[in-house]
Amino acid sequence: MATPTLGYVKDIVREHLARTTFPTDMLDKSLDQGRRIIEQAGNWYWMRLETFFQLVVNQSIYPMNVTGEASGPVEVIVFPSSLAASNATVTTATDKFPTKFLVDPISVPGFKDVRAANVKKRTDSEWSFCEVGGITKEEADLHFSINDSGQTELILIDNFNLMVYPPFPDSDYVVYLYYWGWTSNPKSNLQTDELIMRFPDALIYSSLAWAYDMELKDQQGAGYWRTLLGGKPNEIGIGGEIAKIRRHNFQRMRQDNISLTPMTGPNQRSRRLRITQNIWLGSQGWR
Amino acid sequence: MAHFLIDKRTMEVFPYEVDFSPVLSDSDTVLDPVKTTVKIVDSAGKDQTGSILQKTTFSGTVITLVLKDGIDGEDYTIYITGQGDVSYLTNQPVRVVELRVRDTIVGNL
Repeated sequence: MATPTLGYVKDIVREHLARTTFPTDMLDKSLDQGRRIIEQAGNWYWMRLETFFQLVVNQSIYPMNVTGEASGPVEVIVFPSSLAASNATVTTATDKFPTKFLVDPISVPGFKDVRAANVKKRTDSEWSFCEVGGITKEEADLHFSINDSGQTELILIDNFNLMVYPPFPDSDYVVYLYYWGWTSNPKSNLQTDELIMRFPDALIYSSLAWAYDMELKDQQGAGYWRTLLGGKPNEIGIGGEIAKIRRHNFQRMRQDNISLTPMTGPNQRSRRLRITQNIWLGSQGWR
Repeated sequence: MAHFLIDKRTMEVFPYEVDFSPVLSDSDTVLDPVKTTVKIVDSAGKDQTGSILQKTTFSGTVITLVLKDGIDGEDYTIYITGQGDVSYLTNQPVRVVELRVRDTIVGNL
């Protein structure tokens, strides 16, 4: 069998709808949406992306530009840099109110979900660990003073804003952000990628499910393709092609994500933050 | 969406006619062979005019494209911007032809 390409998948989807009356533009959209449906079902190994960006001294919030295209400044509400703990004129009697600012967004193309982050000074040769997520913004806001200054220890993502803690970086640190991102189909009929090459049927089924719903208005037919994609209705991920992807995904990533941790004893681990909570299976915080 | 759809085997060479009379102004009698343009792009949007279009001829409001070659599995989009001899400043209609090159898929479109 020849290596499946985007054109191979297109032809199969097209044959099930109509060679002539299914507009190619809609076919392309069905393939785009089919890929999105598959990627909505999980964070798969081909979606591992990473990016770098640089912090701004005393700036705590960084709006994320996920489009991959240039974007202008974005308004945020933060505590002004004049309130940094390093400012000798700031006292307990100083009013501390947040203010509106325009800040440049950071580029995180196709962001779906965060995985991990490392941080370092511009001149450092090694990365330092930076915790990502794990606690809520509400909890972090209580843990840090509003003008705590220092190297970033914690990154949280709330809506489309990335926030660093302590909230006043004392240097323009470089952040290495590892994340899960939405991916796109190849542009050319003649190209392929991991999803199309290894799981072509998944993209065919998901595209057909979308097209039967949107183009043919055939819910019963769409249900047939959806079952082939994800098992019985309401069981997405248990059967069908999605289950195959999930099994392979587990094989690819288990060496990264599973560690056994003693609940007590000398090897008990704890985090810098949430010091009363142990780390159990699946933690990404240990290294 | 394309106005016309054709399929082709890689080894085929054939003429394909597009009549602009329905979309030109009543005042136009012929397509202007100099001002009328043809552009062919592949599925990635790369210009392939030179590799697919062998030649063009004009007769009245009809343009004839002689198509050649192509890569099996590729979809090409042909954009023809027609300009009549009189109304070319105010009327430049585009006809879009989708060309699918398939050696193994047979049967009528």
